[in-house]
Amino acid sequence: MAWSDETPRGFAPVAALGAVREWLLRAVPLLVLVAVIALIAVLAAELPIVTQRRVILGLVSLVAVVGLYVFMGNSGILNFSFVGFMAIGAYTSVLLTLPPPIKGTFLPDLPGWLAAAALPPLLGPFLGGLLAAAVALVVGLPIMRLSGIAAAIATFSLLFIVYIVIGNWNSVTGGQISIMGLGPYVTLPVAGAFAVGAVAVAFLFQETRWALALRASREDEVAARACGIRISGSASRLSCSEPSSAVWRERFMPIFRERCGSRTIISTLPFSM
Amino acid sequence: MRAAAENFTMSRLVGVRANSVILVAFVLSGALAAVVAVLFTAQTGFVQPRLGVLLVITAFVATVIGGLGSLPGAVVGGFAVGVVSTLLQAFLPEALRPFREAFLFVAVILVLLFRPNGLFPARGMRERV
Repeated sequence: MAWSDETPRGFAPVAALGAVREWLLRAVPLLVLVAVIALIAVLAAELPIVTQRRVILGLVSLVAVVGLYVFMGNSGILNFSFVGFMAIGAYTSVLLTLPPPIKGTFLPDLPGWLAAAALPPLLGPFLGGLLAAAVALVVGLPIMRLSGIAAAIATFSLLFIVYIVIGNWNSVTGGQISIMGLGPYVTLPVAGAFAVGAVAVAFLFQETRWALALRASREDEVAARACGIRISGSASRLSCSEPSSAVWRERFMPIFRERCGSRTIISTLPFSM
Repeated sequence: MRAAAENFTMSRLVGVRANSVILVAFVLSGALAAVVAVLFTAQTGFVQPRLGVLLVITAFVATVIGGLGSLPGAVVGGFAVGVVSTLLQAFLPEALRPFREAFLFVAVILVLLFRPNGLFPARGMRERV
């Protein structure tokens, strides 16, 4: 790399200091957002319990919105399947963490191992996220080759497929009935921590080269392709937006799942459209 | 109308009243939607607020499948979705029949993968540099 004459090349500490300063400047939005969320969470702890619940719901919604941003904000593609992944996460977390006796009354036809599963509640969001990420990866490989309205319709179809499968798979999801009985484990600190984590993950993702390439494809698909970014259509398997979309889900869904899990818990209504 | 859709500013520069042209299309399409609703409710015999959701979704999907911006595309898309849906209802095994719509949407995704612009893309829709 070519340095200008003013840069004290031989004096490493100064250069390192400059790098730290540059990094700090870049991280200002992240630090400010984290501080605001932490402040809200701390202040809300002093409020009455009903207001606290509202704040928790707000933080949970924040995670969802940040999740939407990670893909839709960076890629500019309308993504309806997001809600479908929420549903997958919610149901996975319910099926794995609900106490077996309660599960038995709602879902008598569950396969044995699933009926016996009783994992710690906080593991639910992560496993739900993992499953949603796996589904997203498999389905994303073909769908992310599309762009524009075709991509929007494809993600919409995906949402509908998830909705119909969950709504009719009576033996595993209970079909149209609601499943209740999860403990209220999403307290203010938990919701705050997940919100901070979500913002941090979204920020770190947007600083990567994948996100940069993704934003380039959003600004001008043709120009991005001309710069050597593989967006879609090439014979190769992993186009640029695929890894990034997979990555966001992979990293983000576990946190995002919390949103769904908590939604399910707080209002005890599993995914309704 | 098509000129206004393709290049709004340009069509205005050559004297097309683009705003009112698009308004007319919007009004016409609204009137047609009402006609559809009347036909549909006359068939089913009842009305409720969420009546149209599935209908609109199917229509929207069918339009995109057929190809936005072409009349034959819209018609063929509508028929294709209807035919596939009926065939699924007839030939799916009993256990899978509740999931009929899911199969329909899988077919939609497959069509989009191979023809992203629909079966009959309009000529002016392709992106130019």
